[in-house]
Amino acid sequence: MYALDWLSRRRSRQTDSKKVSSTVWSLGFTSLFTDISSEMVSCILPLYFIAQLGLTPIQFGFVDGLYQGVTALSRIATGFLADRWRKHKEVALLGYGLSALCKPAFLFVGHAWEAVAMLIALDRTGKGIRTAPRDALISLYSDKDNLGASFGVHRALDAVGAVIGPGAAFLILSHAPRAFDAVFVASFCLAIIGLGILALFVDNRDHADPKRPVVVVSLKAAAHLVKEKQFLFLVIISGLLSVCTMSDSFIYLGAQHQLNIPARFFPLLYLGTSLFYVFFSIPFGRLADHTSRFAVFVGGHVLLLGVYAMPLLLHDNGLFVLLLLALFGAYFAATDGVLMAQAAEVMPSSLCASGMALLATVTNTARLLSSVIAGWLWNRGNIATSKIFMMSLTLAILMVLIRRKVTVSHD
Amino acid sequence: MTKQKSNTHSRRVAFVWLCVICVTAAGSYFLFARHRTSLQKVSPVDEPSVSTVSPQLPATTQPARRIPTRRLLFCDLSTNAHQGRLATVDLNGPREHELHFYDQLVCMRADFRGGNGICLHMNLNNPLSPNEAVIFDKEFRIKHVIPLAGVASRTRVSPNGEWGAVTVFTGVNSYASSRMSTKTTVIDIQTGTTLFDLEDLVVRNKGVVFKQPDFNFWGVTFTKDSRYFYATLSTGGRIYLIKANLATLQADVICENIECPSLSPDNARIAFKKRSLSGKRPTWHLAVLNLATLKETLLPEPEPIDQQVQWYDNHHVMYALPEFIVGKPVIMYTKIIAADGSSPFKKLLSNADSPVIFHEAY
Repeated sequence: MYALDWLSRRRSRQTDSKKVSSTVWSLGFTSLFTDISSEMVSCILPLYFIAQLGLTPIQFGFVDGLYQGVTALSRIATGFLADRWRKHKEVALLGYGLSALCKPAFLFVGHAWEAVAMLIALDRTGKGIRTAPRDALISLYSDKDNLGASFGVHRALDAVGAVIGPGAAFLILSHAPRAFDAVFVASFCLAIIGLGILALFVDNRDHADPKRPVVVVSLKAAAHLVKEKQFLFLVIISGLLSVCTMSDSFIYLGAQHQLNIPARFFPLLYLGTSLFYVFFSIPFGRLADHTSRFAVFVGGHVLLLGVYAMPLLLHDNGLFVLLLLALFGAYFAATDGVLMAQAAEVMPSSLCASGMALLATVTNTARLLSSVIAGWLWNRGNIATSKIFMMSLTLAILMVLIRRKVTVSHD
Repeated sequence: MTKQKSNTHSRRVAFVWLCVICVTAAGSYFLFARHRTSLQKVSPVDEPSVSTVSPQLPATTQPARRIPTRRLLFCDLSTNAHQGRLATVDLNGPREHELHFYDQLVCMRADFRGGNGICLHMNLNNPLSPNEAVIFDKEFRIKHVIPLAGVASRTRVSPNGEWGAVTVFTGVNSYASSRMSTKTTVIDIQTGTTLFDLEDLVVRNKGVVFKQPDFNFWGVTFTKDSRYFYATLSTGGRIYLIKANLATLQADVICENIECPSLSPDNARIAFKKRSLSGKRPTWHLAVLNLATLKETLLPEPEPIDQQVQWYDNHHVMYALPEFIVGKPVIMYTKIIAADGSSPFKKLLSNADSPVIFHEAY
């Protein structure tokens, strides 16, 4: 009757979808360079701390979680301000710039690990600031017909950066052993190139589609976002599905336990998943445009059920590991960008940064909750216990969605 | 329209310039860093005989066997492409401070006992699985290479040279990851195979079997008869010292709050890092436990220390700590300190990490 009509609706569209805007490609390349930059640093930081500064990983384990709240707050606040000032580009620049500046700063903090913790927190705050305005820009430079493809292009380029980064860092270290500073400097320079692409080739745009409703941006209007039924529905469903999404390290640890993968192949698992993510991103985005974005998003979580179930049912086979990574990469491709594309469609474009910030905060918080639940269940029982819990919860949500869909189409 | 076109053009020009500047900056810094890593030199500290250092002596021109002397084995952080290569130095031989380098063994941590050594190596030719334990003999020949599951943390060889213990950090893939744990395995040095994981131990606390899913082990130190070892066990936020039997895999909790134990050669004392909490953050300081009296002595090393230290002899402890001076490259010093806390530390060598006494006698 309400809200759900778009769930079942099949879009009748012309077969050749519209070309993705060059601005979206620019945003994609900004993310590509930024991701090379940040992955370079994040993959060598443990090494830097342990080998160079003599810290233990346990010491910076404290950092995590402590700053989650700060990141969430800064994300929502800057998302709203970006909408309010209609300066998505400038706010995104602030976020990218903050993270870029953190890279050379690692050189100057020495072994005062409070300062290191501060820097990591600032780096993540930068990420919090930039994500929503950037996704808002992607949606503003897209049409209803190619939102999925636009996000697909962006996420694919982003993932390419994540694949290149660690390789670049190791390349530098193998030629200049223990010269961690060279990695930080290179990372900074790459971040500046990413920043340059954003500053030079991306402009603000107000409304891509004049047919979309225009809302005056105020705190009150932003608060009314949650009264938009379709948007609220999306937030609730994606939040619930995120509660049953185990973090990737849990997935890999579980797979390692059950499929007997030597732990030293861990980085290969991350790499494999990223490659499949790159591969599936654009096709899944297009598929979402041609069929239903919500259906593809929910379908992604069905793939995740497969990821959970496979190691429980099968054992010890290289091919299965590959299939597992393919499924997991496909899950990311079907959910991450597609969710934002769907969100862009169901909310007023003048509020999209605020809405996306809210959505991202809800799903991230839900994932944090998921990690706590998964860890708790794992400690009480075993990995299968927490997987079965996650699977049952996913299935329950899917059942409810299907029932509602049936009811709605019968109305 | 033309105005917009020229605007686009000038943006492109600006971008090309930006790329040129950034690539040049990163490239020249990289070259500078590569050049700099080849300039640092090993030098003994607080010693008048610095000029006798002959760091260029290649490993292949070792002189004929001398009477066993006290030599120090360490990871040399001074030079070029072989950062962390093993080196030995005579501490009281006829040719004081003569250095030998073993370029084929580049290590982050090393230990040597009973004629065999373990070198925790990072093989950058295999960036996806770079961590390895390399087993070598007293001629510094590589006997086995064992792949490791994570970043090197601690390693020890038993006094008879038969067993080795290796601790690695696992799950350290990203600095944002909060699930960090350690994995400690005992290996058979002769065959280069893994014997068991410390998680396989049956641990008893006051006689009652005690097992939790969050058990984490690290910092093995073997007893002088090579039949037992001590190690650190952490669970539920608490730290225990355990003593385990290598043959039966039975272990007992000895006491609490002794972390990264290191047994003195006569097994009378344990050097360890003592944890103190300032707020939520732990810091560690060097301390020694007398096993007979269970008396703890905090040693006068002012800097926090986070490693498993080594014994120089029955009365002195050795460790490496970096020195940070703003604007200068970080220098790692090997230091020595009296185990009874009676005198302050002395710097022994610069650019030397992971020091251990090298007993040639075996």
